[in-house]
Amino acid sequence: MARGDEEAFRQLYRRHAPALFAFARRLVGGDHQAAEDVLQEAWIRAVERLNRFAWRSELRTWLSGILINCARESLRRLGRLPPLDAADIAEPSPGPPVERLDLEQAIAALPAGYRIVLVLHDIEGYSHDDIAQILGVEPGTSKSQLARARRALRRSLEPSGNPALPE
Amino acid sequence: MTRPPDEDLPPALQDALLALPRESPPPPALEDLTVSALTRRGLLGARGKGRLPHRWLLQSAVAALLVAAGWLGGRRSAPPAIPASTTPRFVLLLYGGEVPDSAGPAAHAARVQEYAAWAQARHATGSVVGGEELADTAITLGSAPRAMPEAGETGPGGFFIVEAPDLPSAIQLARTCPHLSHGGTVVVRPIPAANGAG
Repeated sequence: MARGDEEAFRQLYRRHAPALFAFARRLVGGDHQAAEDVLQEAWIRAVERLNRFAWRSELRTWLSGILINCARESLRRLGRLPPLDAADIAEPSPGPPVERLDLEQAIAALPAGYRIVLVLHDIEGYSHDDIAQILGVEPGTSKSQLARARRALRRSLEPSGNPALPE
Repeated sequence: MTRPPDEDLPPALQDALLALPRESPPPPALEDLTVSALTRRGLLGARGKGRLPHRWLLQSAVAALLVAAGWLGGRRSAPPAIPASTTPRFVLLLYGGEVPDSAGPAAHAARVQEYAAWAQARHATGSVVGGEELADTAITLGSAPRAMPEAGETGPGGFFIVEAPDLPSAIQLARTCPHLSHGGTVVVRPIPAANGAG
């Protein structure tokens, strides 16, 4: 093995892995093992394609795109990702009030289709056009999914006494 | 990140989402596992496979600066003029400094990241104000100067434009450029005030 090559990769890994791991964990709904698998697969694909990266965007953005695809494939394999284009995806039932459900848990509990759009838009700052391109849907679908995701999130946080939401 | 108020997202919830931690360290063992997986697939230490051209390195580092400055992203054909300033300006011309032949793609990427981090940090403080990549094509017109590039050489691979109070300060800034630590040469040349300042 070329030591310099390995060390160079380790530098890249250490710089970007903490943010990518947090991103992956949210995308897969808090499943730690799945997030590890997604992160590792994303790095493998990234190194495979590194010489195709045109450097017209930031490396983190490029890595995130690969990570999102890996996360969606993982969710699909686990049967947790219905087609996002289905505008009539059933909204989650309110269910019994959940006490002390913190924000991360509430996000993790969203249906995967909602969660991905919410994480991309409201946490990572992607635009609807970006999300539409990444997920292969129309921008309108991204907007409607986000609206539903937000409603579902608000509802899950409604029980009184939730400490995660500031006044 | 700021957004206009959104009726679907109460301000308190918007703030809470934006306040979520953006980083979470993966298990330490995952780094070694990932390196092992890459090695098994021949993606690390594979000499001569998938390497990138040397000039790409300098051009990419400069491109990374331009991305940071918001100058790229589909607008390559019409880069904006460098904004007016009264501070003296200098051009740093980057020569040589190629990544060794034995290095793989990750080594190239790490070098670009190093250059980009240097440029972006100084762009944030205002001392690096611009840059541009230079293509390999070099057409010489008129009488040949005394020092022509040798066959196969095309001169600098890129340049940075920096602001500094005076030439010694510009030289001091140029000394921090990572290009030097990789065997490259940086030539500092003042831009006359009539062209670059005021």
